[in-house]
Amino acid sequence: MIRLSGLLLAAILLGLAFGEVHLPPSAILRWDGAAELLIGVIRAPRVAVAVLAGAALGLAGALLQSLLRNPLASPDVLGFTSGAGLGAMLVVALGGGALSITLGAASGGVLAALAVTALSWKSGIVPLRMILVGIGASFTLQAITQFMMTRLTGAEAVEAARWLSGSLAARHWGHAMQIGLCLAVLLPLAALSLRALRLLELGDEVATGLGLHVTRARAGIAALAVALVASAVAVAGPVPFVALLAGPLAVRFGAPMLLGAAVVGAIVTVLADLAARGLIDGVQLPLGVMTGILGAPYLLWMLSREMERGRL
Amino acid sequence: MRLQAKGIDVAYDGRRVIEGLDLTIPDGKVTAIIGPNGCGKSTLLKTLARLIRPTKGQVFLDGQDIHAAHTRDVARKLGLLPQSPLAPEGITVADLIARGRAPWRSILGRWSPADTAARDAALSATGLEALADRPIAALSGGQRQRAWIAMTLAQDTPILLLDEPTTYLDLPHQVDLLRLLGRLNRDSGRTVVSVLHDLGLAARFSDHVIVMSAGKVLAEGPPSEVITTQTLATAFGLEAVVIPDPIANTPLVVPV
Repeated sequence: MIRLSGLLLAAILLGLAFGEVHLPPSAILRWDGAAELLIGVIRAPRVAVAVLAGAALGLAGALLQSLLRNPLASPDVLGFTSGAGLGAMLVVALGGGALSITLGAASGGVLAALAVTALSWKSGIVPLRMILVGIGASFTLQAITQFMMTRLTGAEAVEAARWLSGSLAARHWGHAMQIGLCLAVLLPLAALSLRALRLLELGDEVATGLGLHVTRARAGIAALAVALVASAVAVAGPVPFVALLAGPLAVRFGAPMLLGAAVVGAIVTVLADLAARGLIDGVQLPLGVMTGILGAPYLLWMLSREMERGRL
Repeated sequence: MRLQAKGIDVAYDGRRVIEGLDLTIPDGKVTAIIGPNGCGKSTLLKTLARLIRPTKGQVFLDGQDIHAAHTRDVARKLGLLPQSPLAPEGITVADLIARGRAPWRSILGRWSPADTAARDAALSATGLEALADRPIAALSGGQRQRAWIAMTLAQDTPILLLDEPTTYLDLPHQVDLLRLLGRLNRDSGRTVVSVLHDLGLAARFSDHVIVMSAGKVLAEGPPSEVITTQTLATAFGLEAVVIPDPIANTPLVVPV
């Protein structure tokens, strides 16, 4: 955990110090007007949004992965992220403001979660069915989103496309405040859900024997994960793979699952955003493209490993 | 009597497994539920443990419908060990046992000295003190089963229900485990109810035997009265002679 905190700090400093416009260290130390504009106004809110949205996604992924006892069960694989993306996209298309985009993302995420749960229901939640249905739902929702795009005017479509690819360009402190407030409510709830998760991982029968209301606890934790995804998607767009990667990476580092996943999610997002805007000179890639490049091979590796183990 | 079933029908996977069953579990005794495969004995135990809701009739714990009571209050009175439970990756013996304290802790409540005392008592009752920091995965089958029993002991309930606790264990470990359950009953007056497969072990290590057949209680009572040539023939379709066990004088089943 100490290593992870150090890494997060280093990632934040890197994210502040580097970018498309090169700022010499001497200018940063002098804190002149250029430094203040570049770091204080442009980069700091962007990095803050990356940290908070990344943490929310990482936490949501870890919650769902332990809830369904499957490393593939993350909100992006299950279609929740695409649902939130479509919901927010509809609001963008209708010209809604920040608050209505958040609400759109939340309702899209909740509806996708309910639909995937209902479609995969077989006298209870069956994790594998849910993952397969979720992958299908993801594609469907993305197709609908693409169709919506074709109905927009040129300028709107460009804006929507940038947003949908998961972009942190031009974030201001208002965005950081928005997700900060969401997390202020959701993080304590996540801490409370930890004890229920510890019982659920012993299996439904043992958990019931130990006095846990299993169905209620499951629904509560799933709702919490959807809320986390929606709050991240509302400020950063449907950034793929962060939620999928964070939990297993945190475990690799020997960190506690939930807290570790939040920190790893933040690190991955800040670094991916830094790479997206700085890796190719003069080209600002959207964050989502970067996490996609990082995450897709991981998903393929994970799928093949699960198949080898005969769990898929 | 604290745990009772009255007129219960139970369906499992859409099939009616138990029909019109009445049962009273004797307090402070070691009870074994036996019967042929598919007779509904595990389903009965799960219904008594509130894991399955009967389609008709009720299970009563201390006179209250077990499904009407708060599940946490039930968990303070009734402990449960399902058949072959799965331990999460990397969990240690002490950590597993600590989770048995869940029904006694409030949402924000910290780990208390009472929790430590209960965990340590469970470790020593099961003889696992030396293995407390080992991962469950590194234990032998017998030790692992004792760790799970220790978890239900830490739960500190007057009633303990176990679904085939001796499955997958070799004979010495089966005997070891049933002796442990007998000791828990004698030392603290706990009511212990287990579903068992082995008739000889059930006869030897129980005060009370319930024989099930086709979703009904065929016979119940002390082993010497219940395990007879006639019940074996009716319940299991097994032709056998029953003679007194030369060591404990309990019934010994010799198939013909």
